[in-house]
Amino acid sequence: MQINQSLYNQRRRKNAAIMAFSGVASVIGLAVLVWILFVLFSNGFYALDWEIFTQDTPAPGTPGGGLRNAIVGSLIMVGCAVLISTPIGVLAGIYLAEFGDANKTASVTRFVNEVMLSAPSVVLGLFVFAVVVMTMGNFSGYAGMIALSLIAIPVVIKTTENMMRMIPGSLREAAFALGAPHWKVATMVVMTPACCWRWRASAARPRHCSLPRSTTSSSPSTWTARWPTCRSGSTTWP
Amino acid sequence: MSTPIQAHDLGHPHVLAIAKRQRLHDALFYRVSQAFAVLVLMALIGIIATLFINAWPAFREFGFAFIWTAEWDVVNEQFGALMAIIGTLATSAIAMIIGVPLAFGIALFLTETCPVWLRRPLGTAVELLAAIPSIIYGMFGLFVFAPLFADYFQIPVQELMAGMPIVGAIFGGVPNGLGILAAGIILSFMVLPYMAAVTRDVFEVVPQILRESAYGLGATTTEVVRHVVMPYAFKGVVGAVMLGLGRALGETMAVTFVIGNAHRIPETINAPGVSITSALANEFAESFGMHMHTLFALGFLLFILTFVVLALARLLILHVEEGKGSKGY
Repeated sequence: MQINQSLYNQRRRKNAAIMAFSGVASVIGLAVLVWILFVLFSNGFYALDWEIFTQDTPAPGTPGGGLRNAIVGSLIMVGCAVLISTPIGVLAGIYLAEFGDANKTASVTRFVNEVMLSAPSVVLGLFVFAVVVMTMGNFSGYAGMIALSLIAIPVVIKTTENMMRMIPGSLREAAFALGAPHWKVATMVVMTPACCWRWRASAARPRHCSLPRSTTSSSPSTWTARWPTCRSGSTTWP
Repeated sequence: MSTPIQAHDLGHPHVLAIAKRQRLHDALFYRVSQAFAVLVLMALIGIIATLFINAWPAFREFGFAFIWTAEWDVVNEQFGALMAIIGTLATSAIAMIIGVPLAFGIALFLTETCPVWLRRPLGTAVELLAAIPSIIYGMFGLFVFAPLFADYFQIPVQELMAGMPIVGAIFGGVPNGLGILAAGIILSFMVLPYMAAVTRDVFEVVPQILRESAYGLGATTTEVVRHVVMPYAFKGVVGAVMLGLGRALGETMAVTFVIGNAHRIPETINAPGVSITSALANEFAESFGMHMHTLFALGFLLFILTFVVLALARLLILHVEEGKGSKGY
């Protein structure tokens, strides 16, 4: 059998070069990860002690103290944001998945959701500042909560819709054939396995989960709640 | 109930009552879920309207020239958005130039060449990188990356290129580790894992049998990826790049730490600059009056920018799908 040796070698060289590049790219990506984690732990580890969790931040220049106010503030704010965003996001996601085929409202909502998903968090922070902080007159935990919910809602909607669409149609049809009403099919037949999948997916892949995204978004919450810098947190917290 | 209801007895009043109640429940369920979907719609309209109303005084004062005026004078209240727009576009462009090939390479490695036992741990590590909060990238950039970048990249490169006519000018500037290029590199670190993870997912969806057929015809791995995987996964790859670009355009904290925050047009890529997001993060809390309206106008422009990027991605995908003649493969 005759093969074009030079063409064959050329193809193999090109392949080897591109594969080598992809290997190098992976090494660079992982090196950055290891580097960042190393810097974080080597600098942050010795500063960790119980006082971080048990004491409030003192006035600047005073030794000692911890970050209790910031940690508690973050937890409360994220908890409330999850409480606000989950029902809204899940119900809107159900609408898109269950009633959203060939439906004008649904297709517009889907597009709007894409826009919200890609909206920079600063812009959402500006909106909450204008609506909540300017009308209430001061920074507050409410404003931070609303800002974080606004970030989380589009993520919840998109994940809910995608997961519900992954449920096989035969399951749905079987439930309808037994005479189940639509709301029961949606909440009990489609949502239950979708929830399991979603939980697994979000546990395995942090970017699908809205929680990390809302906990780590610093820009909207620093303006709207001013929690990290706010020593008198209890006065602004309702 | 007195008599058991037979399956065929659909006219039984009890059955009719159940059916009626269920129809009511369904209608209610439909309306409630629709109301929440519409709520999201209203939220977006509210966001756009609020931003525009608050930005309106600035637009009225400066007109369309606001977009291409390079002036930022807080004392005399003369503002233009050009410097911030340039900073945002330049850092995002650098992030994309570095990040897209790297993300593509990582996805390629994870799906095609990596040994199977290593795929999961490596993939998880990339996703872990995606979960690091952006403010940590900023702190890392400022305290760790910037000094090293100045000593081992900016100064040697400047010495190397000092005599050259054009590249020398591009890499000029004070080598203090902060500036447009440093911000772009930190941004590329930040958007890299998002793009890599999504691209990897999209590559994995390509049916294995298509790959095997191509290998069976004698194609090299590169050719399989180029002619089989890429056409199949094109839509998802565009989505991944757009996700990264959207993140890069809207990123606040990571950029603010390293861009240098100087209101001037950067003459070189090592010069400090300002981006829309860093201007907002630095100045918004202390602003009032026209200054604040201008910052709202900047936010509005950023929103429009990300919207345009999203719309362009949609158009690109539609265009390619049309070129294929049909949506099925």
